[in-house]
Amino acid sequence: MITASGDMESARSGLWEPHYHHDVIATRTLGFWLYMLSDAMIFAGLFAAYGVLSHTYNTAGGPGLHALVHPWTAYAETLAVFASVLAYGGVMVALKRGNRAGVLLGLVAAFVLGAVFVGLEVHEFAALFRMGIYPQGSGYLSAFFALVMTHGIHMAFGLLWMATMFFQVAAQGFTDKTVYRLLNLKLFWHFQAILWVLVYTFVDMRGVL
Amino acid sequence: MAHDAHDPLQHPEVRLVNGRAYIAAFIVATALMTAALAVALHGSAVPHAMLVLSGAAALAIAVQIVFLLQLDFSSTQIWTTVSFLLAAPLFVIAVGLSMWMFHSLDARTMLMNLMP
Repeated sequence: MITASGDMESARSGLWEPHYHHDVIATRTLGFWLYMLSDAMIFAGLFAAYGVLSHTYNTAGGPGLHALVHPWTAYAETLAVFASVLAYGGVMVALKRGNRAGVLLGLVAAFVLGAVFVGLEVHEFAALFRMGIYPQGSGYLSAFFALVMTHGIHMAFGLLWMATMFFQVAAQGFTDKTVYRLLNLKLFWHFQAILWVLVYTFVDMRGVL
Repeated sequence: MAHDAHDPLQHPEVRLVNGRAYIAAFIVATALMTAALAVALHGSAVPHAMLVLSGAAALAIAVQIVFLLQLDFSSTQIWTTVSFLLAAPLFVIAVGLSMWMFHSLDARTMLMNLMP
């Protein structure tokens, strides 16, 4: 152990000894996981604002939740997210087997299914905009669009990340860097599925009730 | 957390991948969200429908945490699991306290009594 005087001889027997192996993959996945947990707090704030502003009073005479949600579209989005997550599971299985073609194929499948989700959401928002329903319409609408769009933007960034990983894995194969990035993307993508369960339940299904 | 492997594919976080767990998570979570849709569409016939929906969501999330994120107390995942367990109450407190504070706002401010 290192002593109060900090002499180097003592330090060599502790965590700072020269031959101590630094686990890059584990360190970076844990660091990214901590980032994801702080990202979740953004959603906590958005869900809190949404819950508070969901009273009829905050619609300012404009449309409320019942007018905004389409249960079957939300269900289709759910299937797309879950299927994309399953496809990314295929990426992880292929990675474990060292199968580069399998990883690339899984990334394409996860990307396409994720793009279906984003496409459905864009289509949904475009329909609302055509009806003259915008985020600035009321406090309630601001909270609704902020929550759902923040999740949608996360999904879009996930797609961008998948496209990037496709080219990195194709060009570099399985290095420390590509492997920890694939593991981090796994955490990111699975986390979006968990957040979607909350959006689907407390925004879409609650609106149908 | 530390390990000594030069082949990144031999890393414990890669080795713990389980294809069957992914399929199980997909089937269970999809079934629960399908049930949630059925409950929502027939909400008037289901007592405490919002409570049932919340239960389905909690179960789906628990399944995803266990089967997708594979949080457990193994030496590979312990730090991930503990950090999640410490952060989850913050999420609940942030949402729960905000909702609680505003729950009876109308009674205390009379603003909402002005609603038609």
